[in-house]
Amino acid sequence: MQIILQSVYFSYDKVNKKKFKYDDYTVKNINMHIQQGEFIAIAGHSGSGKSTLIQLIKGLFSPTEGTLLLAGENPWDRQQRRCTQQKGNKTQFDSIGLVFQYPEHQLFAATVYEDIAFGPTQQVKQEVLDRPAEQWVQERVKRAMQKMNLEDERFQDSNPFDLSGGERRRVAIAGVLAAEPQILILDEPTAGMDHFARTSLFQTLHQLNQQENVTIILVSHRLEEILAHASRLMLMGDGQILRDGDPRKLLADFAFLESIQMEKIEPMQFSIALAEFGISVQDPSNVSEVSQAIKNYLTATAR
Amino acid sequence: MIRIENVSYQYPFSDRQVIRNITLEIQKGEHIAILGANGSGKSTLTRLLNGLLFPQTGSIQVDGLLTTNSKTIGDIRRKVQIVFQNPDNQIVGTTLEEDIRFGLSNIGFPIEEIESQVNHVLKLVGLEGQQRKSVHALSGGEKQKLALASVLALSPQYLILDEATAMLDPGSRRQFLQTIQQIRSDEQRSIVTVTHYFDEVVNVDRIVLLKEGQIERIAEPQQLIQHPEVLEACGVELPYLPAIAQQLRTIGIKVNPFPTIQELVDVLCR
Ligand SMILES: Nc1ncnc2c1ncn2[C@@H]1O[C@H](COP(=O)(O)OP(=O)(O)OP(=O)(O)O)[C@@H](O)[C@H]1O
Ligand SMILES: Nc1ncnc2c1ncn2[C@@H]1O[C@H](COP(=O)(O)OP(=O)(O)OP(=O)(O)O)[C@@H](O)[C@H]1O
Ligand SMILES: [Mg+2]
Ligand SMILES: [Mg+2]
Repeated sequence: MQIILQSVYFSYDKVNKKKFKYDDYTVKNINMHIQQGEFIAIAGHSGSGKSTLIQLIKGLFSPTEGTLLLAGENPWDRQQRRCTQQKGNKTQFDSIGLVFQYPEHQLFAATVYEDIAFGPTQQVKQEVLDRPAEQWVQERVKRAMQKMNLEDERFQDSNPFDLSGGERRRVAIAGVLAAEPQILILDEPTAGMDHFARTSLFQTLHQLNQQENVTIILVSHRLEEILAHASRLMLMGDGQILRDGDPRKLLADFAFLESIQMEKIEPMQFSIALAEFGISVQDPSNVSEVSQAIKNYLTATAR
Repeated sequence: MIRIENVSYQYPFSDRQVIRNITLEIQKGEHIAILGANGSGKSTLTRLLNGLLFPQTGSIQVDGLLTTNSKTIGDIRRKVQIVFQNPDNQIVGTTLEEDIRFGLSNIGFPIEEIESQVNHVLKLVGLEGQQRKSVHALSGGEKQKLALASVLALSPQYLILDEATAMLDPGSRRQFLQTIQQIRSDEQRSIVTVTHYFDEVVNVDRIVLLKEGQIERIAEPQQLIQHPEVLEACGVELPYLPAIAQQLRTIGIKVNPFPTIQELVDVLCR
């Protein structure tokens, strides 16, 4: 499903029922095209509008001005009823999974299992299934739990509120994964995760992206993470998209990064330093590749 | 000083000890980091320190006061302040200013100095000029900044940061680490930083590595960095440059375990 935003503006004033003022747009003049199957990152200073933008894409707010198109249609088009109705009661927004910045606020069920099963249970009512509904739901929950390292037996029946911060977050993400959305948006998903969980999250994201052509939109303050995983980066500042392009190019523009309160990151700095020795690395965040390149250089120069 | 002696803890209705026989002293003026995988007991341990939870066995004393003594628990909670992992758990006001004032009034902060203190801490976290903003209109990172500001305002003797920078943008994170360095130069105050990122705690005095509720290792950062396998078993990734140094050492290239970019570049010039 293609995502297109055309001159989109959004102001919270309308949501908060205040008088609308022109200069109070939280996101401004957003233009973007995202193809199915892309792996995109969004970064920008705190308050730059990242969470607002992705909530617009998910349809939690409607644009104050401008147009959002999902699969070529405007899901908000009032001529075609309030939200375009596809087969069953589904709208295009239902194909989008969103992991909130503090996803633990979305947890509500008495057990981890029930919480993760919520999405699939709703879907059972809308879709034609090839096997008994209960089994279908169970399989989806199990798969999602595996993806978030939640196989340990103690998780399934425990109350999500009796878990640690990182565990709770993983449950919340599993809940979104279980619905197996076509487009997966994650807002700072690795905050609070340990290294094991981060590694398996990214394995999962790449697998979904490459094998199932799922679009991934990752909002993150960890630029190292973006460099390592995303193939396109949008840099935001003051509600606007300031740059849109290859992460390896954008993250090498240190002066620009500094001007928008982002920082230069070590892998980028180091790969630039290596380039001066004629050492080029494909993926500067890959420690083994970088070390191997150094080793090759030293062997070659020793002769 | 906080003295933790043979402390174990099990949540009500749970059949598992999540803190197991921990003994640790946090000295006055010391900066300690607690690292460990999800569920290893970091937050539980911090909640034991200020008497939000009580140990089932063992004891915790803050400047000689037992956390289980109901007469002095008020003192302890004033001395030991936690910035929680989830800022929503501690934001109580409806505006930024109100939220910060609330804590200050609670500790009997001089009324005539409250306003300047509010402005001071808002500036420290980069929210200057926003005192009248509603807390509901804050972005994720701004909420975390407010939680930090409200606790910094109280200048607690023991400042506990439970993943308190997880949602900050890179610039704000660096700025906050600088603020922490300043607090640290005050020899009367101690800091406990809980994090999943080793690079945020390279300057601390000691790192406590937790694993399944037990202390796996206590060491200075410079020593711990030489044991990547121990770190990894506890869910902690080696930072980028040390990870490269580590790989280079396995092929016999001698280099500082905590190298700067320049030191790594120097390897190429040898
Ligand atoms: N209220 C509770 N009731 C029962 N068990 C709990 C409760 N809170 C936490 N636990 C369990 O106690 C263990 C330690 O939790 P704690 O929150 O201390 O971990 P943590 O090290 O802070 O993890 P994280 O990195 O995810 O924040 C976890 O296994 C968790 O599931
Ligand atoms: N419900 C709301 N009402 C009014 N203003 C809001 C609301 N939510 C957010 N804002 C404001 O809109 C701006 C953008 O917020 P948003 O949450 O999109 O930022 P963000 O880029 O996700 O930041 P962070 O990195 O801190 O999560 C901020 O200045 C914020 O204060
Ligand atoms: Mg946000
Ligand atoms: Mg915790």
